[in-house]
Amino acid sequence: MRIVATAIKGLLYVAAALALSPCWAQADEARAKKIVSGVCFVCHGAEGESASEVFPRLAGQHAEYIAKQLDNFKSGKRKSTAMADMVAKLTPDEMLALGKYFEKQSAPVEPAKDPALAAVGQYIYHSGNKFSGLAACASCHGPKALGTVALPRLAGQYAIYTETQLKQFHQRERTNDNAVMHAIVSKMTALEMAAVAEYLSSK
Amino acid sequence: MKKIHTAWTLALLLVAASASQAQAVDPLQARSWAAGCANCHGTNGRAEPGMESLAGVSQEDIVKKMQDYKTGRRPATLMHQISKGYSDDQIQAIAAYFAAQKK
Amino acid sequence: MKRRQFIQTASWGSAAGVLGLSGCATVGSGSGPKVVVVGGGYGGATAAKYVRMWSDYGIQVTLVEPNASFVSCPISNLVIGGSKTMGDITTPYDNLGKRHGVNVVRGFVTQIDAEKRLVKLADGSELSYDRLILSPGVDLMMDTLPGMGKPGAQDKILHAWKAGPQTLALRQQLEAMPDGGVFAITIPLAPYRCPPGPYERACQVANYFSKAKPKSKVLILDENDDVTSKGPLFKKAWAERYKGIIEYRSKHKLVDVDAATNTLKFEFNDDLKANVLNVLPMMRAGDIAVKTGLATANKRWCEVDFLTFESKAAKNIHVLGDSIQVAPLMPKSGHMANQHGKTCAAAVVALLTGKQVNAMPIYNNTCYSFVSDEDVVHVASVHRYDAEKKTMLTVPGSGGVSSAANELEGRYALAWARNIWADTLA
Repeated sequence: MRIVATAIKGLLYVAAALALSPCWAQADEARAKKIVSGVCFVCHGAEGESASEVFPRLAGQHAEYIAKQLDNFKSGKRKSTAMADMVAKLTPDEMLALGKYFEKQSAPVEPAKDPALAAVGQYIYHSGNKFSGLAACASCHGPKALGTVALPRLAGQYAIYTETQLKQFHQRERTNDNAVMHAIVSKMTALEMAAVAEYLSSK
Repeated sequence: MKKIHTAWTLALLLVAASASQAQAVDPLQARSWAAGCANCHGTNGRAEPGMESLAGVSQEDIVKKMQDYKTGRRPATLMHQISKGYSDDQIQAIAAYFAAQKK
Repeated sequence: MKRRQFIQTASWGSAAGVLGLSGCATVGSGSGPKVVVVGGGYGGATAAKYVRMWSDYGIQVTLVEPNASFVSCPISNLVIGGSKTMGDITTPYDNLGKRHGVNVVRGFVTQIDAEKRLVKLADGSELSYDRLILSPGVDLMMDTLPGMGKPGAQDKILHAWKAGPQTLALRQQLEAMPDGGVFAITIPLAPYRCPPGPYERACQVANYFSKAKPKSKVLILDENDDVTSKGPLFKKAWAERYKGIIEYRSKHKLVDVDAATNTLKFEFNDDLKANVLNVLPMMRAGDIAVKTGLATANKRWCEVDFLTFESKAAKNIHVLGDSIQVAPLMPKSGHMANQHGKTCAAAVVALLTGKQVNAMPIYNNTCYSFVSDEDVVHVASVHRYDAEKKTMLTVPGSGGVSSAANELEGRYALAWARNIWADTLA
């Protein structure tokens, strides 16, 4: 709980700093666009829509969350062979600018491929599983899965990506943000992970 | 007539299945094919910084990535263009070679 | 200093030869099969390393190369553009000796006796071989331009098409040029070494001009009907990034050059003067291959067996890289020469150890061009042996170009350079 509180505090400071800073908006947006069209677009799409379910959608994701992930990739706190090279040259300002850029984008959401599975996921997401002691995801990530400054938006993310992240939290292969998430996911079955991911992809 | 036809088809399918699984590729040929990747991925798949190494990566992982590139499921700058030049068997053999290399 | 190094390397080489005898019949005499490689470029250096590696260090390899270090043509255009230095593109030959026991001889081959299997060097020494691998690159046929034969002409009017001192000299000519001047590059009819190279060079010079000499111009005078590689991508880069700086003129056949007045003379078009001239004449296989009678195609390129790279004109002599008569759609590139080197090495090791030669060579070409100091476009192709046509053919459905210039590929291009230099020389 304390870890979460500290993390939230830290991110709120960042958010406050962002709100108070003068109109860096234009220059940073131009810089972000240049980086996106030069590097990020191949996997994440020019507007963060991501043409492939192998790579996460970034459109509409919280700026602070993206900046934190980029920073974690750079420091190695979050492991990824693909991302490490991409972020090596990014400055903290650029990371924030990229976050702001992607936050502004929106991507169309597709209906679930397996509506029955998504229905199971809807129940789990909103009510958890009282039989196994699994908390409802909505209690932190919000009823609309939009997340907060401290927690990622999950709505509209590719099912496969979400499911992979859940599995990686479970196996401790995802090495950041995992203090809370590991405890939660350790109570999830394979069916529940797949179902929640499927539900979120169409939200 | 129909019975024999079905049995024969079954036999052929079994042979084909076992053949594709136990495809004995000449290891030196696989080594030569894999060497074509060294220009970007390093001698024996041990890459210099900036490019992914293939040495010691599991055969399954390499094959999956190459198939994802081939089908377009995984976007790339040029691996989709290169992967389409290799047959599935060749990809299996090359991946096996890299899996066996020291990291 | 150099002789001592040579002697050190030579004795290491023979020591390695003795040590690597485990697979050989005669023990203690230091006589495994001998391979001599002529030319330490992308083709030859790679072949030398891989013959050693793939024979488990049982085959003796001597590499003869006139230059002290390997200087890469790929990326050299960025030295001309100003974003890289000569140091960035230079790699010593040390590791071939230290790590793989290649006997690197700094010298120049003047004659090959195919009957006696002897290679003669300019200093009078001789090397015997069981198999000879020739990778002598290209020679620039300056004699097709009479004015370039006049004294001093070739010191003033540079090609910089063999990376080294001319690369730096051309950069210095551009730095000395006044703002408002003109840089003109002439391109011969294909095939020539590195199809996209001249267009990349034009981009690099224009990039430099746009920052430092904005009133200056870049003229591309191309004998070909159109841009020979990545045409639409280059033209887009010129229009979007270097408007008003680069002008491309096709169907310009250069017939002479007047070095005194910096004038280019064409077959049908008007004479043209420029402040800095960069003349790329017609090219052919390296001198030594031509002298030895191996240039069977138009007396310019060496025909080879694509399974082994053995010359069609001489037994036990293999030819690699830019010197060969290419297969359809096979470019003359460093990347391709490196692939030839590995394919040939595998075949030579097989032939010398009584094993089967790979009946299905398959390899790729990846060619990156820098349209600025950061943004890159590529062309890639996959080539597979066709047993019926007995040549390498591109695999249908494979290969292609970039959809647009981008910075990500700029990073990949530099990573490619690091990796291919290591694959060739480390």
